[in-house]
Amino acid sequence: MIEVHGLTKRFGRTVAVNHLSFDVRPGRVTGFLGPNGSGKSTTMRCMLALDRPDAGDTRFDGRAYGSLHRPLFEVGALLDAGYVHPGRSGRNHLRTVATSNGIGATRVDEVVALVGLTDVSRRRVRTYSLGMRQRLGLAAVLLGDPHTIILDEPANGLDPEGIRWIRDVLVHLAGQGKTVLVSSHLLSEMAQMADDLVVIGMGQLIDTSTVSDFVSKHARHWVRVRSPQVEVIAQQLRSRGATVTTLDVSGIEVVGVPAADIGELAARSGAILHELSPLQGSLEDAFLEATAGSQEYRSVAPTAPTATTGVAPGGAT
Amino acid sequence: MTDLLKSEWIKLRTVRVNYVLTIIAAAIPIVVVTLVAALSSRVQQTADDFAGGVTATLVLTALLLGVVGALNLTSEFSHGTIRVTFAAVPQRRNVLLAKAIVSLLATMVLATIIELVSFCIGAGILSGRGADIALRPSDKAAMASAVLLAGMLSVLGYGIGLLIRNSPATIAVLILWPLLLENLVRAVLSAAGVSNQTPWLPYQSAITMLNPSTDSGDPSRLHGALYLGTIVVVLVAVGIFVNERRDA
Repeated sequence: MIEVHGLTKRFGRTVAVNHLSFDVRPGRVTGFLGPNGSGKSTTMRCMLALDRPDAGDTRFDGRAYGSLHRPLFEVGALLDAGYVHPGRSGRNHLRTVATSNGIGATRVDEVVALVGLTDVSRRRVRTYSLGMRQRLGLAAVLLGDPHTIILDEPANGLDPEGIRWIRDVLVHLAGQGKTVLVSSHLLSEMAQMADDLVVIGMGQLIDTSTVSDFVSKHARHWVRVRSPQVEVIAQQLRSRGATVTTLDVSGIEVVGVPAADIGELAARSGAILHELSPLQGSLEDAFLEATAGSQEYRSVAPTAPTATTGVAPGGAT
Repeated sequence: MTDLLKSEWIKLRTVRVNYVLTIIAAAIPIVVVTLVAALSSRVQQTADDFAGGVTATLVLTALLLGVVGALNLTSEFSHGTIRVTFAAVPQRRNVLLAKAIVSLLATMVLATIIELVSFCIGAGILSGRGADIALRPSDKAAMASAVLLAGMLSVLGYGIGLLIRNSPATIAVLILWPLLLENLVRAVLSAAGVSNQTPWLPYQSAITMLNPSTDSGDPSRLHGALYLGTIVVVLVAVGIFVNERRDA
């Protein structure tokens, strides 16, 4: 169990994390979501006593991280796969970490095998791909078989097989009763592996709930209707104040009226229904909706240069 | 603490740049001493001040081993591994002390080996050329001081690194300290009317420890060791204090 209470971290005048509180329950994968610059990594660093919070604290099963002796047996964390000396071999990197907590070389070789790096473990890390470094970082997390696991963007740089592998590993670990907190920008992956979500924006808590509740609460809901008499149905729905979008000659999408009501309305009108599908937006839709007011960096849709702009070769104008 | 010392020892000996710097640090005195012993035209005169010749060549060795000591820490900051280190052991003071102890011991052992190898090779060559090598107590003290200087410079580099956290800047300060900073201070002291500036300069005071036959105006070995040693201890203590409170 992780308990974060009133965590606040400032960098000069910038408030990176603002009075953030949430709990992470054991036996579940909890996704930690937020737009770029929302304070996820800072929060994780504060939780692990790497950054000094200006206020608030974090408890791991009731204990502050700084008070843990041999914390690798209690909390395994991967904050950045790049935190490795490139001139050191992967195995030696793990040995330095393991030895500091009294963990022997046998366990190092076990976790190296577990993450599939046995063949390359004696190669220097500078020859590793980002995906291999992620696996190395995960090996370090697993060294002490901890009951709490914190991962910051663990799927970065992994190929599809690697992403599936890490998802399976995390779900398996949560299934063993471990507490798993994982941040990721891959929302489709998060939708598949997370049970709970903690969503933050601009350093503040936006929502914390189960994934299904979060999507129900924040994603758009609509009903797709297909009927040979679709215009009749559409007209009646518009008269009830519903938003109706025409898909094609026999299809509409309706926002604001439940599917059951549309079915009854169609029956009363004598319209035949070929499709009546209640639909819901994805986790990505829900996330974008929930964090719409908390995006620090906003992009705009790319536009083609106009004829008068005259972009020269090489990008110079 | 034993686990931490073992971990830091693994870190020190699993990076290739440390080996390269150590080989250079060892090669300089060995090559110079060998050449001097083999090519000197005044064999007995060279033999009479042989210990002084060996310790003089060890100054550069000590400086290079100081660079190793500095890199041992600053590379952790530049590669971000300090976060892995502090996450594995949140008691930062213990980590930083273990790192300093390993740097100090490794440097002193290496300096001792390099010095003995240099001395034995040179003494063997000079003996072969008919010279008598006699080690006076002051020679032995000077040679022991060279090992101490190497240890102090290693921890000095470490202490500077704790405060600056940047490899190039730390190495620059470590090297510019004796070459530039102390000469500037010497000039200021001279302008202020201080006739003998060396006792006021920590690095220069420590260097005089390496001279078997000290002049009457030179600071004593104890002065040199205590002056630079105190600065090193204060730097490391302040560095640990600051790093316990800073974000990693």
